[in-house]
Amino acid sequence: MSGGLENDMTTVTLRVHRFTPRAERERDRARAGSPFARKSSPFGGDSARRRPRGKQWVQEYTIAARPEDTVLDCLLTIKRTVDPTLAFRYSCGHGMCGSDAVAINGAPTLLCTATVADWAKPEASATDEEGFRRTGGVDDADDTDAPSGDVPDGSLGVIELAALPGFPVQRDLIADIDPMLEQIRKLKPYLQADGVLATTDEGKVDVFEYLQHPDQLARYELLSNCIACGVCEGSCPVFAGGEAFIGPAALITASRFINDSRDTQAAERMDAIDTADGIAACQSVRACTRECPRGIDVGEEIWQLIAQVKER
Amino acid sequence: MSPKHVEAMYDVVIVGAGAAGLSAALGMVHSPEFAERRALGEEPSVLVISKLQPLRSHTGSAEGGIAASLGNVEHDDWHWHYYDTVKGGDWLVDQDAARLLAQEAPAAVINLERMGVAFSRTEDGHIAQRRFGGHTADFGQQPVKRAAYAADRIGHQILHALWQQCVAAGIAFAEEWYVTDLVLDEARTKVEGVVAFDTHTGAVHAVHARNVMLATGGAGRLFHTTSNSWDLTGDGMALALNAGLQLEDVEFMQFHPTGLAHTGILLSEAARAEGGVLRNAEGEAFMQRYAPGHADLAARDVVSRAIRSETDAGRGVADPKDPAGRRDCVWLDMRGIDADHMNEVLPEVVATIRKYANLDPAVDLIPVKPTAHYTMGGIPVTVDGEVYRWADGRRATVEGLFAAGECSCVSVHGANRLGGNSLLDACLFGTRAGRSMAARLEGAAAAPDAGDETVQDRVDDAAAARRTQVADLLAAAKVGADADADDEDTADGNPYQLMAELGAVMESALAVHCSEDTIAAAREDIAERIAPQAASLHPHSDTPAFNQELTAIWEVRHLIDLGSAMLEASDARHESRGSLYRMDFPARDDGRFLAHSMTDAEGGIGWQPVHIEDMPPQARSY
Repeated sequence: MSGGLENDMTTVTLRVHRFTPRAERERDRARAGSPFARKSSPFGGDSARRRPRGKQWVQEYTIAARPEDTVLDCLLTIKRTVDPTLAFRYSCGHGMCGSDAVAINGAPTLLCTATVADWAKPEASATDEEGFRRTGGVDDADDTDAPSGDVPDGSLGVIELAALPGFPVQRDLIADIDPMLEQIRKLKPYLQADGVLATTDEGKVDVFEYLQHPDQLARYELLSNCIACGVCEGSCPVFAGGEAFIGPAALITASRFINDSRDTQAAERMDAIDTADGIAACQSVRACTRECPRGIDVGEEIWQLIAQVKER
Repeated sequence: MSPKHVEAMYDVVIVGAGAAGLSAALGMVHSPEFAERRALGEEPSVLVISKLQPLRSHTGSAEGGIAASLGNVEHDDWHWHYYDTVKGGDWLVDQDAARLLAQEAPAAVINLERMGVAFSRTEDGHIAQRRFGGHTADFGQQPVKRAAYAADRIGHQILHALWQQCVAAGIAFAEEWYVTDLVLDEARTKVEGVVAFDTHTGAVHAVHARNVMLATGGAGRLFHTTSNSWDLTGDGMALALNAGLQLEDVEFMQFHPTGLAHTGILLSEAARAEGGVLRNAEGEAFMQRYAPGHADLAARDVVSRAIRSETDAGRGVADPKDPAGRRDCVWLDMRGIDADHMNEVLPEVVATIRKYANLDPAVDLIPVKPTAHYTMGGIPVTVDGEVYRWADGRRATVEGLFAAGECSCVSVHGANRLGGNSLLDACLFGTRAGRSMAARLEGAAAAPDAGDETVQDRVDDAAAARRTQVADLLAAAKVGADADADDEDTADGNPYQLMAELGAVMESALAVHCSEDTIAAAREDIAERIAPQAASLHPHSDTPAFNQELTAIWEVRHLIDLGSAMLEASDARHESRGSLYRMDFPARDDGRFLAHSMTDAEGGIGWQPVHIEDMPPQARSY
């Protein structure tokens, strides 16, 4: 539990992009589809969102950590022993609540599922000689970088943390994800079934579940596991890049209902996303797939959805 | 999302947005009374306040299932569910409430399905059901498949479906607002509103309401090892205590037998329902010895105590991540479950073990340890969700105040909750509370509150006091920051550290078993060390927006209030029953303690007789 540096303990350095908002009398509460949107979108509201003003800085914390510790473990150690002012969302701590999406080494992912072993990089490799951030991330660990643990001073390396891209920063690692939730809400994210009650053999009304065969369930079950964490949105160069786009999370939710045999509104749902800022804005980059904590192949699902809409 | 402005008076304010709070909101808006008001052009004002965004609520972490005698897989009968619930609770269950729970369970589960929950299905398309600990056929004869499930993520499915239906119904939310005060009238007979802190702006709001419902969840964070999320700090229970109300049966805390070693993360009971077996250091499947016939699927308190007995007897194992550490774990052996089947029906369990233990359950033994999981006790409520005080041998309801879910105690769980009954309790009694509030809507319109300026506004007063406290705390942060540079030894507490210390104190006092001595040691430690530190805490940033440390200070104070009440109630019960095992009073004592403890903030304890209707107490054996 101690953040103190013991002799037999390895360490990690967290480089955190921090932000403290300046006090504002009247905060503009308007929600835009994207903080940088250049054009208005029917999904995003029309008033451009002001970026909050305040103090920005980068702070480094070096603490004792083991390779198998999660980045959330590290941040909680910092809160407990070094700096209780560091702000970040977290709740369940095991990848179910979806509250702790941030950018780790530039890649959107959840704090509680990311381990030090997977994400710590030797200092020199955080940027190349021109100062560009390395791309690639976790999968290219076999290059010349020394793997974690071999550094003589016991340092496992550096992890860079910033708020989830594509959303306004509210404080430190906390981003305003309401634009995503607004977009999900716009697509009527709730079951619209026929409401018909089954009847018994004698013709009496019997309150009964809607029947659904396991094969029908399989068509949308994975999609229904979405936890609305925003990782796919932060990864999408169209959405996070500031274009008007309803975003992958809302499309996944729409697809979840389109493919639910109980829902009667598939045609209307497809109409609602068959727009310039709907499926037409998806560039099939498929960056949305990479870190989905629920294992949804978001890019492929959207590809299937587009085909479904086009083939109507 | 936050309301654009706070109304002068709300018809209904719900605190908490998990299964209970959202079910209440839906129960209300789907009621005939609500439709009637709408038809008259009067849209009742409703606000759901939650300290998290609703989709982050801990309901989403529930894994195994929701119990109902649907009989979709095997013949079942609600009477058996009723019996199992009473027996599981070691007869400290109010039988009128448990009967309702069992009887209305099938309708509640079907209602969830019709709201969109993606239940797993049988081959003929019905809701699939699995076995769960303590659920039996023929009054305890053999296990029955009663838990309706959605793979092992039923809570996620229910939480999202309820939220989705709230979107459809246009329910207004105040998200990431923390309620600091529950305000009653002076005589504690009527609710007046709440005080809420908007964490986004640091503003303190006086929220006046004719009806308030508390649905804030449990208090697992009282203990160091817990399956609960970081936010389950017992806020609603502490609000009730601090408003002068009591808590019922708060000494009963369930320790789930299979927390993943030292993380406390839950491995669903479904792991054992699907064939997982607990083994001690010698490889023995020891549960057969403690609960012949039921073995690994005996009730949770029985299994947790058996694990503790094994580890106390030196037959425990160390967490492989910490081989030199305490041998306070046992093995969960899932190697006998077909690997494909395991991946299909237990995907979350498998993923959790891989991610957080770096082990493969198809090949490796998994270290597990009892983890603080569920608060059986809580704010006393009637079966219609009305909060009451126990005074002079009767229930005195607090007009307009409601509660449901884990923060409440309608007493269906008694001294130990059965798996699958918590989601059911939250959804079913949450819906009932929502309907009760709807029934009060009409009366509310008839009684305008405006007028008498001379009447003291207790909500405004409480909000003003809270505003002053926030200003003082933030000012202390500024002073602290200036002093820090040259003054290393400033008494400078940290609420996160203090919460961890309190968790360790409570764990050594009450986890799985306790005695007068362990309780006394914890009381002293809290009074002399923890509470004074909590009183002197201040944040270290003076920026009010998203000042999480400020909220953490209130949370740790809430936990101390609640922990103290839990210690008092544990001390007063000189018997062992369900989850409470007193080493100095190892037997159940129906003569003296077939009664609910009613504990107030001063440690005063009253005893309310248990409602025994159909089933006189019997010995409880598994």
